[in-house]
Amino acid sequence: MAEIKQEKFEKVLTKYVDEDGSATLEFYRGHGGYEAAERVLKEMKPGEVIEAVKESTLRGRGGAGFPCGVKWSFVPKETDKPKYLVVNADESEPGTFKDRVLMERDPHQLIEGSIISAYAIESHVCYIYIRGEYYDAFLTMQKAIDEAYEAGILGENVLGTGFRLDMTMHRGAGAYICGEETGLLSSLEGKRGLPKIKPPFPAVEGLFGCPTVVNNVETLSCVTHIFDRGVDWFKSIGPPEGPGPKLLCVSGHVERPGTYEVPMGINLLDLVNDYAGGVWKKRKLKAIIPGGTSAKILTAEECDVGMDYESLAAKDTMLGSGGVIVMDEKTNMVNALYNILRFYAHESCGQCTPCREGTGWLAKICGRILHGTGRMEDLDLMIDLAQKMCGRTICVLADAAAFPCESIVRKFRLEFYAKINAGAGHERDIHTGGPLVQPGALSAHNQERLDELRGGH
Amino acid sequence: MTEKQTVNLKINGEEVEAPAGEMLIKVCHDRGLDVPFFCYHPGLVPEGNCRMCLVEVVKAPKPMPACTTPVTDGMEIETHSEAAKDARADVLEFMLSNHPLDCPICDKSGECLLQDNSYDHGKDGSRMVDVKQLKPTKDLGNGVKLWGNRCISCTRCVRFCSDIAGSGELAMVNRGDSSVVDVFPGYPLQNPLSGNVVDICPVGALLTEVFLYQARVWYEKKTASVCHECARGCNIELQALNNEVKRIVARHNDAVNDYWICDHGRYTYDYILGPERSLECRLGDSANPADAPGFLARRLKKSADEHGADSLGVVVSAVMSNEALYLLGSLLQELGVPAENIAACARDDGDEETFKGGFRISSDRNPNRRGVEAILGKDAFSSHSDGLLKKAKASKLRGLVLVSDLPGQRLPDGWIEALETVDFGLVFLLENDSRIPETAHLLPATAFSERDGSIINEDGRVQLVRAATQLPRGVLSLDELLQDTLVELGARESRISPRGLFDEMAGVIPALAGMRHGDLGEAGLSAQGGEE
Repeated sequence: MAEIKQEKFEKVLTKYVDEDGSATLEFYRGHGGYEAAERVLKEMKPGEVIEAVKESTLRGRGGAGFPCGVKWSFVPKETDKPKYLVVNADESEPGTFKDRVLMERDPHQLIEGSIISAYAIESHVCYIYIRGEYYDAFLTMQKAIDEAYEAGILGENVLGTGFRLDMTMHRGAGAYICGEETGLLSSLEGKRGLPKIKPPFPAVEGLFGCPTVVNNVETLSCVTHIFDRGVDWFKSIGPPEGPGPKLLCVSGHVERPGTYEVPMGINLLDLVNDYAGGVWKKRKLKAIIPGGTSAKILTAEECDVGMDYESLAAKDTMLGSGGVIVMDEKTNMVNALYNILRFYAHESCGQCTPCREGTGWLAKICGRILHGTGRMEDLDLMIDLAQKMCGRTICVLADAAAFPCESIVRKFRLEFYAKINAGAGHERDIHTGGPLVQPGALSAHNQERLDELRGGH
Repeated sequence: MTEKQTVNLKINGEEVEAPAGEMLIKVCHDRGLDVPFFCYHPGLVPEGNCRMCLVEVVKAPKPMPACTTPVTDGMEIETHSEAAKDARADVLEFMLSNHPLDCPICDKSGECLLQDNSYDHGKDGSRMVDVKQLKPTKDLGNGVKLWGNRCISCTRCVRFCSDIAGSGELAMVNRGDSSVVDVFPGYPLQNPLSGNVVDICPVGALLTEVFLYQARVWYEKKTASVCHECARGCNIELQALNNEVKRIVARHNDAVNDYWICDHGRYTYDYILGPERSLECRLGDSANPADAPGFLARRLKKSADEHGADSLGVVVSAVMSNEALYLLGSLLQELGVPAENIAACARDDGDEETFKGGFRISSDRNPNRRGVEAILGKDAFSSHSDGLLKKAKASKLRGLVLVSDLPGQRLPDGWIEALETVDFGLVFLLENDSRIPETAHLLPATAFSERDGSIINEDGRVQLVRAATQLPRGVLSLDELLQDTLVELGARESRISPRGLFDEMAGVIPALAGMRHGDLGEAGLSAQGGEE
């Protein structure tokens, strides 16, 4: 196992996660917790807080990388409506598991960041929308919130400053689309988790039609430290366009998968080799998806890149949610793509036509290639469909399905050829060249449906 | 209202002025530009999910849906640039990828937005070789059937049920390409406006059971008319094939019913050619309707001469057209019959219902109560009726003409009893009534779908009723019969057209003063003294 070289960077967000009792208020306060929030609430005006976050150039850690302070500044100052702060803890991007660590091991850090943010946008209600599967994180967070209420950190008189803030947890029911901010808000309102058309943006018309800021768990945790250690400290880490510490989730074919806190801009290969112990079983690297499955794939040759917003954009991919998925030389890319596409076909909310039909169609084509009835023209068809899904829907789920599809088909075309050629002997429909539907091919779902329609006869 | 603010934008290079905040699709449609759509409906809140109305907004990174993009100052729109056309063609390809090609057996064929849009904006051929998704076919309730495979998930019906009907039975279920509209088990579609979801379904996913496979829509004769089931006067389109009304659909009128009608009005047309429809002509010795004008003139004149004009009575209904009421009024005036001898019969009140979107069903089930009041006076329903019945009881009534054309409702017993006591009794009968004595004369009455004329709704809006079908054999047009009778009596020179009749009537009836038939158009006009 490779030596882990982490001494060069001081961890901040995950500094205490390995220590016993790190989730308790006592531990958190014992390590200087809530001092930053108290100072902010006592000494700064909300506008100054927003300016400070703008100055820090903190960018959203959820996936889109939108400047956090700018987002806050969109919230109208003069309004009779209540304002809401919503913490996006849905963390549903495949390959991402950083918020889980933060919530399970250091929940008060998030609460403190949320208090500062709520104070900045003058919100008195904060919802934490947590992924339904994160039951342990939910329990830990809830316990931390209860502790905070008891200690006067939340409630009518936050930290004795007279600021009022209520915090409520809401568990999702397992839909990927509820991690998209407007879909999340729909779900939080008690409706189907369908994304809404922007504009109006949530900052103007969000939860229950009121101004709302939706921030990722990691983003808000960063806010805590910006006010604890100062804006200049934050800006000193990584590239100026998007500085700060960053949690990256390395999964896949590595020796030490896990969540690693690194300075923004770390080289991807250094991350994989130094932190995650390198590609497993001494195999060679084939490809890396750098920012969750929605990001375009990087071939092994392209992986010498800094893990920050700008450097990855230059490679035509994105930092996304920081889910680094490593694939070794034995990975079958057709299989990998099919896995990804089935996920998006299953998770498309079904609202917009290109996404509703396109995600399913792509998955069907890819499945067909994988199972031996692919056609050469399917490859161009997949790329064409992927391009036609992009930018034509309410939210970016269609783009998220199209990016990996287009990039994997383009960059690993030979593997698709191999699968198609391997299946050349399959019987095909003489009209379309597609699969010849054989007895028994009817899906279980359709068989069930037919039985139901026949009324059991 | 504050002064309307306008913005200036460019559509396809042309300078356009439009009200601020107006959606782009409306501005384009108002200018006659073909921006296709599925989920957009002018009567519903836009959702922007079908992506069919994508247009190119210059300087915007992506094409924008015209139905949810408000116009702003300085905006530049290209509706038919290559980028916009490609975007729409691509959306159509996706739309069709799971849609069955069953147009030949689909009832929506011919009025299907997907057909029309594919023809106008789609690509030829298909690249889809994979197995299409299968979705349920089932009854949703209220005679509405779902063909899930055809559903394009536009959510028009869902929005209608939640925002207009307010009952929210329909919802989208499942996700991705399995998305389909459905009801919750045990809670079927059952609101009184449910038929509208069939009207607004852009494809053949929602169809009514009663119209299913009854007609190919392109063969149907379509006639703009007005519903006769309550005093609202909702605008409808009667669709007939082979002289039979096959279906009634809603017709848009902002001043009355927006885009909707209730199920009661939609599905009440079976009586027109129903088994109870009376076609019997019984005029003394003759059974020939052609004898009717002469017979009527002779007998009424005789009765008036022998027993005095005061011994004649007439009972009209609140379903008759203004024209028939006016002609009947002038016939009686000609004979010298006093105004209080003309009574009117109304249908029983029903329940008033108001829906979330503002649509209302009136408790007054009489389509032309206001017309009767305007032409025969406000007392026709009350004191005239009572007076006439008293006269009959005292055997002072010697001649009585009854118009019994209320669909689904027979005349009150009092009038039938009165028929027994008179020397000359004549009934214009729509539906068979076994109580009518053998001695009474009979003529078939016309149904609302068979006549031209005008009626006045409860808000005082004068609207035109148009004949959708020819009269069944043996049935006379009441307007023509009355005109011919007046000709026989020497009071008129000849029969005139419905148009001439309206204009003549408008010169006499104060409520219609200043109106011309040609001005009524499809939407009608507000009458003098109307509440609008």
